[in-house]
Amino acid sequence: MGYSIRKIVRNLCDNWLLYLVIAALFMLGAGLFSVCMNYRMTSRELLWESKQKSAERLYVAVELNGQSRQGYSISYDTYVRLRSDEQYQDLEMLFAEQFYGGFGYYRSEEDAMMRNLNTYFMNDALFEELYHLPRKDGVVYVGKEAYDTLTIVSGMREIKDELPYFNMTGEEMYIEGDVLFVEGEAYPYEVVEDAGLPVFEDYMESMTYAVIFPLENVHEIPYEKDSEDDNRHYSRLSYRYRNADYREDLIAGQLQEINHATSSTGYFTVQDEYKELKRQMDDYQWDMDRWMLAAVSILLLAGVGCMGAMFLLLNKRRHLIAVSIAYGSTIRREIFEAVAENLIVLLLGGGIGIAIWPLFRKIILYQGELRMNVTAIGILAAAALVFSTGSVLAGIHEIKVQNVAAALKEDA
Amino acid sequence: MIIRNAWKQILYDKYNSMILWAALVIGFLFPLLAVNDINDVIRDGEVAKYEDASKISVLEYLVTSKIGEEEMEASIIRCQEEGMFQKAGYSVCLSEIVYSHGRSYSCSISGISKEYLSLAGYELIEGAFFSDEDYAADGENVCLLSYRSALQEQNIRVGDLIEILGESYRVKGIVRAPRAYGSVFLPYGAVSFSVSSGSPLGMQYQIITYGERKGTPMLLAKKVFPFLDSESGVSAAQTGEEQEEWYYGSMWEVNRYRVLRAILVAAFAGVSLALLFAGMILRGRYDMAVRIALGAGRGKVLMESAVRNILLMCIAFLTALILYPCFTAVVSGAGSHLLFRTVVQVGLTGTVFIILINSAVFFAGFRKRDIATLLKG
Repeated sequence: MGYSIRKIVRNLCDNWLLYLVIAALFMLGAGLFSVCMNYRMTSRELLWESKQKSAERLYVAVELNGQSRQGYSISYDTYVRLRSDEQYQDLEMLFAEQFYGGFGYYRSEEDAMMRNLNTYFMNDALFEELYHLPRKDGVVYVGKEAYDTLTIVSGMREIKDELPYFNMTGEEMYIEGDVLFVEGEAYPYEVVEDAGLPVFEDYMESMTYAVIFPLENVHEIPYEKDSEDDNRHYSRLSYRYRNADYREDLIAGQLQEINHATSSTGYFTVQDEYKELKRQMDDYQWDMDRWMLAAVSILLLAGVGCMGAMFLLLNKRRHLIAVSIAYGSTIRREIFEAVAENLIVLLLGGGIGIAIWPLFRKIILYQGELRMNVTAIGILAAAALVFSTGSVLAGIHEIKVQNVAAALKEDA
Repeated sequence: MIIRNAWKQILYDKYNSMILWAALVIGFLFPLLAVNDINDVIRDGEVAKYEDASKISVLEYLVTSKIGEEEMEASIIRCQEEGMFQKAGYSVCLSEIVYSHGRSYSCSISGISKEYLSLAGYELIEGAFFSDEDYAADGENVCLLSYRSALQEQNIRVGDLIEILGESYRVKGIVRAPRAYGSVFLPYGAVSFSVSSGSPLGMQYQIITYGERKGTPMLLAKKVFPFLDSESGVSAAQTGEEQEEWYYGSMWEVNRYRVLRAILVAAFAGVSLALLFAGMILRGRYDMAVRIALGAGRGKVLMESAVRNILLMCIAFLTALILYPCFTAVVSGAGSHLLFRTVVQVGLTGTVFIILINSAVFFAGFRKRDIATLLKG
């Protein structure tokens, strides 16, 4: 062992110029590789952070360039299909169908009114998000103003033929005692007081004019038939990620499906905050793949250089190897010594490359955040071992028995 | 004869030739990428230059709701009739989600008028520009992609379908548009752009006017859009020269590092290949020594060795050119567009490089004494 170590040291000293070139080459490769790997790791961390950020809040889908008067923009069937689709399990849909309506009558200057009356068919997730209270099955929730309006409707509809003006857009609705009547059908209801009433912030609407049905009732109350009325309809859709583990962008994927299925003249997209976040996430994902491959390619190129240098070195050392074998050394031992020599040089060059990687960072990157991590160091050490062994094995031709014999013949 | 001999040597020494070929392919991809990067920077700078910057004014508006198309066109025609400029082109840019090949991307989309295309001076890299039919929305929906944009980097090519604003668009061409905001261009007028109310990103309108300037660009901006007050509407109004200056100033920082990176990568690849070549040439020195001993001239042997290596280089170079699109698609994100000048530059440099390495190794390793030593056995 002692002899081998002395021999390795002597060989390193004898071929210092060539080893200096190899070390410099690997230093350059290690520096570039460290930057690429660190950039890759940083992108992965940033992607994860962005995903976590995306899971923290609600994103509102908006319908641009039109709304449907012919039917639901997002049909109940589409909603049910998407909600139950396996691939969207990490995504929560907060959904409501909304119909703008109103009620107005005129009896005299003093006795007249005109009120909004907005009907929502809302799913439980959106209801709980807005009201922060558990929803009772089959109960219709009515805002304070809507309650007052529907109570007035109840009285006025009895005498509507006597009134100079009576108009109700949307379905015929009124409240009598504990029952809300819609087109003759009775529904239990509860009034939601104004105090602490949520504001449908993303749509800038006050919920005091709202009559909120369970989403499942959307089939029972046939608003879609009223296409001739000025009964404008909107689908209200928001999204929230249940966790940050999703792989593909589920919101964009679902919006595309909705756009294909919708009868609306417009299209659904998501608010700008999400687009910006998505753009960042796309960039990070793309950077991850790109820098990983760049790092691997740089290592390969460094490997090519090491291989060439080993060809040179082993060729030059043919006679030395031959004499060593003639005096009792083995081919395995010669290979081990060559690998050890090369490994020392590569580790030295790689170490310096890692130490000075911030210099390369300035050149490779002109902007963006970069965080140091140790994975690159581990991979580099492994790469140094693989290259030193690989390049010696590639140059093994020079150490073959017949070459040794030929070299000895030359010396003889 | 020399070429035939060189070819025979390559085939005879199959194992080594294949190693060298593979190494050369890897080695060539990096310089191709690096040199193409530098050439792209240069070409971007050339394209970003206006034909006659002294007559150009660039007016920009950031609005959070849509401006009526008819209103804008009427305003531009009125200003044109008043002789404030000879012609004007306009674009509107907004952020939207684009779908293609089962994936979605968030990117900026620009609607551009026909005059805008000619005034902005975009360069067509592949495919075709918009035709009159495209602006009239008579046929299939079409779009252009910006070179080096996110979509183009994702390998979306001319002829592919992408889905924007709820409609399908066929990619008609790829353009070099270094000053543009958008990554996807649509014919303005054929598409209705809008944003949700209160959108923080809003829409970016840009109008390029051409003609003798009468007053400052800011004054022009106020006349073109009297309904937009200067505080909330106009975000920038510059002369062509100012815009160029701004572009070159802001891009220099980015491009300086791109050039430095390209040089570093090319140097790294060069050193690796030089070492490999030197090793491979020295491996064949016995054969060369025998040939010299048998009477072949040193020049001829050197020539044969150089031709063999150049031949190998040519094969590797062609392979690298074939592999380049895949390589850039996954490694650089630079798109697959390889400039012709890059091919010529790398090809010629590679040939000179190989001749120099070959000669240097040959003259260093084949002195008379070395040959005698080799042949002693």
